Amino acid sequence: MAQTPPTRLAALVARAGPHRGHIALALVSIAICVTVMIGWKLGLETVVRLSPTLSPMQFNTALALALVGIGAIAGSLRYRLVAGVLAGAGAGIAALNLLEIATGVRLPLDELFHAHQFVEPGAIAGRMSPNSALAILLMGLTVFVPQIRLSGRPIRGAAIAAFMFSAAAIGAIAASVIGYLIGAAEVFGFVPETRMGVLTTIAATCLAVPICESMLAALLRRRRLPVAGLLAGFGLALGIVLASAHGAIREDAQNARRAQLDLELGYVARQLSGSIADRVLAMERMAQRWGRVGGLSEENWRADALRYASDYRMIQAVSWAGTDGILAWVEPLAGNEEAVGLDLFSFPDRRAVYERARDSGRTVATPVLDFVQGGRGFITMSPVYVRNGEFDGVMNAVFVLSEVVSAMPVSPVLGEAELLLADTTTEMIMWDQVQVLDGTFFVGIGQDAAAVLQPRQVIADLVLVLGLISGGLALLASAALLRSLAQNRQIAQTNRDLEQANSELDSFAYLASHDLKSPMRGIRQLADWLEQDMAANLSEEARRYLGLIHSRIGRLQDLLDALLEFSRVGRNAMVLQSVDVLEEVRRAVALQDLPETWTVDIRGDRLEARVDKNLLLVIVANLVRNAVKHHDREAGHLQVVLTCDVDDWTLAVIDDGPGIPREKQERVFEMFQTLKAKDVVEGSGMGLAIVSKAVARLDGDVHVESDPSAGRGSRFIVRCPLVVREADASQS
Amino acid sequence: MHLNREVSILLVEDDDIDAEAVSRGLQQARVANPVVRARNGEEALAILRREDGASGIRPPYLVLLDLNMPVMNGIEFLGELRADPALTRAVVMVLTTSNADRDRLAAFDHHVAAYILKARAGAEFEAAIKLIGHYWRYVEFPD
Repeated sequence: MAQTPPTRLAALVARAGPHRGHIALALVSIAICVTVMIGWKLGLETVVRLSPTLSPMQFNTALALALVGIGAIAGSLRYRLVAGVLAGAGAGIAALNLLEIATGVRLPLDELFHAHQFVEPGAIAGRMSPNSALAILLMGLTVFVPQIRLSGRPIRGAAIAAFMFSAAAIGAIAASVIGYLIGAAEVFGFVPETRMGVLTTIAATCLAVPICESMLAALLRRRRLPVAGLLAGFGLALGIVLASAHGAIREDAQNARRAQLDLELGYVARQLSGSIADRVLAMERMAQRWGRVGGLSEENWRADALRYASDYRMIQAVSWAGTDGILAWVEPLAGNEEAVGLDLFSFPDRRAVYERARDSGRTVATPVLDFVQGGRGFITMSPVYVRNGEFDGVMNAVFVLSEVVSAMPVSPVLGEAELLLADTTTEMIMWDQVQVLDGTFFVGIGQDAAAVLQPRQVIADLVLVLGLISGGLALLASAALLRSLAQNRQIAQTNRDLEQANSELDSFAYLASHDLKSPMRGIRQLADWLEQDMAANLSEEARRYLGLIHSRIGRLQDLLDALLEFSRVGRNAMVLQSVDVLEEVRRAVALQDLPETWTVDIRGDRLEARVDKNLLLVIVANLVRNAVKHHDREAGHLQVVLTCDVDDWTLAVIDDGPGIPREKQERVFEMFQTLKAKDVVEGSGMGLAIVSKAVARLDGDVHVESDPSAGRGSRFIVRCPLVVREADASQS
Repeated sequence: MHLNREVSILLVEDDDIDAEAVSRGLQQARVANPVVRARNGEEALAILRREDGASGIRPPYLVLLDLNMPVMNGIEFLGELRADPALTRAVVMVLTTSNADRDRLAAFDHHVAAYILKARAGAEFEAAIKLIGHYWRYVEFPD
């Protein structure tokens, strides 16, 4: 079916007819995109992101989506080239963007068309979010692929591929929609820190829904349903939604874990600051005591210092250095032997701190140092002044970092990781500041504790598994549904074909028998006239011939009548009404001119059934006529028995004729079948065929029971439902 | 009793044998009125309107009309006839094999004087022909 694009607007609207709703939605989408593009050019923030807290729709996103949208409309109006080029261009922009995201390469694409005024923190200016790019790429392909022609024909499976692309696009957009609906759009972006803008989500939804719907509708209209393709599309959409939901829950949990860690690190940092400040205060008190008394005896100092060093776990050693900068006393001595007698002035860093403490009169901390006695840490130096304000030396507390950290209270999440304390954050992935006097330290966790940032993802995995299970079940169910739909469609088609064939046969039989009647009447008339006009002059022979002509004409008449009746049984609309079947059977039998030598016995259950009176009359009349016609004796007896079952009724017509041989019983219900030579019994051979057809219209069946070898007689048994299915019957 | 001038009969019938049957019937019933034969509605109209050198027919006349005919069937003919002011009063009797309700109703919609089934051959047909023979004698024609 080659269709050319329309040339006039009226023709355009007419062609859009069935797609009007789809095109309207696509126009909404395009309008949003164009508005956003204008908004960028004019620098209107509310137009591109609605509110500063929301992600903007990037210029490239708007451009690519608009191209795909216009392409889709062109495609539905069968401007194939325009559709292919525009959708291909939109898909190309999206594909390059995805390439940038995947490889980290920066192409000059992002701000090619516009320098973006509003950039979200952490985002690259003008870069589409990955799910926007993915959705636009998929929609572009959906529009693009069906337009491709290879030697004038669409690619095989293009429609199915297009549907799968559009379903995947729906999945990607649905992820974003879900994100916005549950107020967690930030975790539904596939990649942290980026997400589909709110306007992008709306515009993409407006475009993807009609595209996907029309692809789906096109596939569902097919006579042979592409079940596998449909299921693959559903599965793809479901899979993408599930995957992004899984990622979102993971990321949400990670965000929560990160926030928890932040909180705990802050707590630890404050605790640490406090504890160190406590120790420093203790040192300062010691220095003041020294100053008050003008120098402690070594014995007293050692007792004091030892108490501090052992009471406060963080402090490895307390030491005293006089004005000469020599560490005179160190307590406890064990483990700190190397420090005794150390000249602080020989270490520029220690000397600098010493001098600062001396000059400022305040306690000063060193940066992190390697201690001579081993270990890393820092030293606080508290200056000592004697009564006349004369500087007398420094009181030092030695803090070993590892000791400090292990002395910290354990918190629930941080407890799983090893805490680091350092004056730089180079080895840390998360940290908080610890204030030590005027210096800043950092407490945090290192690279080897990254596992603590990855909480156990039981819920995410559970959602994924449950989603897969329920999705799988849903797919199975839809597979079954689609199969039965496909089957029904085939059955319906077969039924239509059969009905068509049957009604053609009926019409043919009707017309043939009707039109054959007229020449036949002519022949009979001519034979009559011959007989009348030549009455006197006819030889015996000629008279016999005329008789034969009459008898053949009579049979032809019977055949044509039977054929007409046969066709009428199929042609006339059924009128179903509740009737007293026994009463109707009695009436039908009474209408037949039975020979006087015959006896009839009609009995059975009185029952009401919904049947067509005419068909019932046809059935009874033909069965009775059949019994009489094929009887081999003068006198016969006919029994008609009506019985009723739960949901069907049975009519048995029992004669005492010669019976029908078993091997011929099948054939008696076929058309033009008589079991005797035509001249012996003047029968059309149609009676039982008519019965069979009438019974079939009443949804019933008919068969014959007879066994001439065992005894005389045949039983014709008709079984019909009490309520006929009223699919094609008109109500009375 | 007012004596009708002799009524002519226009027999519109495509089947020769059926036409013959009517003629024979009329002969046997000793109806000697002139009979003009047309093979379809169009021919019949031409005769009634004396077109194209058609021999024509003089009023008063009685139309015996078959329904199933080629070119222009009986019902179409009736439609034309009743629409023509010059012919609308014509007396028409339908003589047909069709006993379909549709045909019967259509015929009476066009005010036919009788609807006779010719399927009933033999004695019944003869009686029908006699009825036609009597009809013109006792029924006043519009001229």
